[in-house]
Amino acid sequence: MKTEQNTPLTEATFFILLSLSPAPKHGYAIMKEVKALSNGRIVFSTGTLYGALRRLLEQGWIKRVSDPEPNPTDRERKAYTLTDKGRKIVNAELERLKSLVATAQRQVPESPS
Amino acid sequence: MNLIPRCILTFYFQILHLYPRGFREEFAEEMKIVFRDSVHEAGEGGFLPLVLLCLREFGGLPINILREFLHEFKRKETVMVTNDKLETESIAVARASRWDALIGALPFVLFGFDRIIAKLDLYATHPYLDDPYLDLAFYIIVLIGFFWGLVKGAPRWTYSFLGWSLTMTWLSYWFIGAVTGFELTQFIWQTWVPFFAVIAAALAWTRSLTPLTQLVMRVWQDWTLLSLAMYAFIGLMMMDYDENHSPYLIAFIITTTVAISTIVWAFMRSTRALHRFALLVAGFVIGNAINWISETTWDVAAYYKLPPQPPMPWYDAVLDVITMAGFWGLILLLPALIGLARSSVKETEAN
Repeated sequence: MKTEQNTPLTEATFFILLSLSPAPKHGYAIMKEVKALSNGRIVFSTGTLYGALRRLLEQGWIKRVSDPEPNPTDRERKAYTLTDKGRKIVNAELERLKSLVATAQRQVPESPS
Repeated sequence: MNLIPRCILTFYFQILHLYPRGFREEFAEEMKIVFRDSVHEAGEGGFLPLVLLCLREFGGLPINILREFLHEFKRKETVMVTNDKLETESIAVARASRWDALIGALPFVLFGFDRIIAKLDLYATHPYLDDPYLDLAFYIIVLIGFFWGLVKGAPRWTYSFLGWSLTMTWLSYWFIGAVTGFELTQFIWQTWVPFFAVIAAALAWTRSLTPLTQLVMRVWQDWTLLSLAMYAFIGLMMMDYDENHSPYLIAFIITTTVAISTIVWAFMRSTRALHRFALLVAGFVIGNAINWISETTWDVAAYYKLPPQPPMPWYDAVLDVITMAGFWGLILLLPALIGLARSSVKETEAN
């Protein structure tokens, strides 16, 4: 399947993938990062986050890795990272958004400052 | 950690059991850690952030759980269609083990026992050996069998218990009414509560939709299983011997029970769909014939003190057997027709 066919992404999916773009993260770090990236607009519940992560794992857009910041008290803590496919999807979505913004900027005159 | 966050965590950990098993096994431990961290952080901010966190987490929980169940269901549906393709390519299905075949025949054998004990009229000295109590006990056994079959992933013998559970549920207005003293009428929804409660219990036991999807999937792969379930109703008609006062009644019930149960046993052991179907029809014809012979061994008119009736010509009796066998055979054939129609549609699509 072509990468373009997977876009546009939902906002939640986009922010999860974006949060994993710089480095692998565990669930709680993803929640916090998404909240920060969306300026507090998107706050996942644990169930919603793991539902989304499950689907991203099944689609092969993310994968599990060992936690980069292991906590000795948490035996089961796992981290997630983007796969090559996931990274291509994020890039394709970014290109799509850039193209949208460029089109909108050409069409809508700049408001006077 | 103080009491309130600890209670919240305990409650949340319990609620996680409501998720489908596959999801739970994969994510529950991580979710516990994330939720614990969230509670810890919110707790540091005071009572209000904790309340907001609980509202967000618990408010969204039903939707999240439902979504995961639906996702699980869709995944299994995909597997079901894939399996179906493989199945249609193979001529035979796996032979049930002798033990499984025996379990499949068990409800038929037990119903035969139920009828024998009922016809012995022991209720004068043993009130609990009266019809309604015996039927209720049998009903409970088949419901337990059906439950266990669902939990075990719907092996072939489950359909025997499914058929008997449906048949006995349909009749339960009578024996439950007689045992409890309630005046129940036929076809009221309340009589279906035990049947659906068993399905709900199996879903709760496995914490997944697997029992139901497996039940449907197996019929999808082998339509004769539906015929086996319907055969329970035939078994009831053949083994009941209602209003039959033949002096050899017990012998006839035993013969019919052995014949019908053996047919079910052979059905379970057969690997070819056509053979299985033929076995069920043969069982019906044999059962009907034994019933007819039993009717010839007593005089209905004399027993009920009716005026003498002209004897029924033998060819009329044979015609009766053929008509009944044809009528019920057609009903038994219905799943086969559905299976054939399905194969034809698929062949057309493939071309």
